[in-house]
Amino acid sequence: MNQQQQQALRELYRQTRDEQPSQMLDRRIRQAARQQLLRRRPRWIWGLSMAAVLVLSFSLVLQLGVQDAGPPAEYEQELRKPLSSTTQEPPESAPAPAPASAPSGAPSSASRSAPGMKKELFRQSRQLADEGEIAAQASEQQPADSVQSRGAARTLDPASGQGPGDTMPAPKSQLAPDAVTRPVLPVLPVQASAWQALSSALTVIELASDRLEIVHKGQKILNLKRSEQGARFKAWPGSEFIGVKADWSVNRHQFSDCHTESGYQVCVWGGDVQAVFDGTRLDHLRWWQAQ
Amino acid sequence: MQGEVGDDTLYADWQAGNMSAFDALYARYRQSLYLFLLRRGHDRAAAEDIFHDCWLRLIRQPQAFDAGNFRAWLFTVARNLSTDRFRQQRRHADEPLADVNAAGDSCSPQQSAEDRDCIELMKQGIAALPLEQRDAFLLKEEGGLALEQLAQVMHTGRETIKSRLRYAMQRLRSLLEDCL
Repeated sequence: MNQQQQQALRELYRQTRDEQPSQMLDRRIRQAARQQLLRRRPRWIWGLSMAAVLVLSFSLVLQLGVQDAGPPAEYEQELRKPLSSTTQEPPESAPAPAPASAPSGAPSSASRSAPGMKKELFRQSRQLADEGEIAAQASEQQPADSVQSRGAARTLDPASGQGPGDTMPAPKSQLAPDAVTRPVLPVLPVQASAWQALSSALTVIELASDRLEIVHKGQKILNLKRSEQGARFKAWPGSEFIGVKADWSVNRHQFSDCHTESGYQVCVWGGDVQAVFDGTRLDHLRWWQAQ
Repeated sequence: MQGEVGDDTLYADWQAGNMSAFDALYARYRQSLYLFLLRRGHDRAAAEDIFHDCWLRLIRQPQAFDAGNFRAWLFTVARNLSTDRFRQQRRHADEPLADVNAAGDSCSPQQSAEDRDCIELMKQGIAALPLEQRDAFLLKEEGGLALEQLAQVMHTGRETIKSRLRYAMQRLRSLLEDCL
């Protein structure tokens, strides 16, 4: 078969090419192709959005985890141990301290936790801490009567006849917020007479032979338990009057705005300024040191 | 084909999200693929069905075509789907594949040549070709495949393809002698 015949055959064949797929079929196929493209795009966007959601969720969880951390569990247990059997509720007339399990979102705490307030509290705490350290240094150099309460405390020690083991050592880092205007106690007296002598504003209630309750202006501010090793105490708001900064009633609240200062981490905790050392509140350290 | 965007480029553009590239690719093979199926022996409905499945396979399983000659790949898929359909028809209707292959034989195109025009005779002549010769002829005419590509698509040697093409042309020529 020659080329001409082949060409003629092909030409004839081309004339048969008159059929076409229907337009409906064309539309269906093009539609399927478009949908496939659309499906592929959202998959990419979906992946991106999922990643964003995961990152946000993770950061949120981290944030909540930090906020909900609160004090260590063993701290909570220890808080309940010492004076739970003897602790009396404060008088009704006085504002009762919030329970240790108070929710962290209390309005007052929240309002106090405002950034500006936190900064201010932190600034004040730094100032007070500095002043406290200065006062503590000064108290070692000056006569006992230069600071009334400190002098009283010093005079109390020999009067009580207690050895060093009967008194609590002062914490390393003082966070004495009212160091200037209120008495600062380097040690806590363990005798009722010493507390009475410290200030006439204090009422000392002997709960038991080894347990004291210190009340100031009708409000329980301190429970003290003597032991052979020394003493342990639990403080409530108002204990600043005797130089104990131990706002334990809000110890359920979160750490935030922590700063490292003089080896201690100073944090805004529950809207109050507290010192934290190695993840533990300084009050907690004080408490242990008091044991 | 000079100056025309290559199939691979259109395919890649479509994969990148360019729908007009798919439209161009589809327009390029729309009629030839459909005619290949129709001339292979399917009726219009079956041809459209297979045509649709063939494009859907490309659309939904784009990874099936990773590289190589798009044209050869497309016609290979169409041929495989068509063969599957023939097998299904044979199974359901208990119709031997040979009957499908020889569908044109029953038309006795030679006897009715005088009553039909050459175009219809050509259609019947193609339908009367043995399936392998028909495939070779259609893949060459509709798919525009070269001998090597034909051999690849039909899984046979180049010389075999040449023989099939030669026999197909001879049969058509003898059938359409009066038309040439």
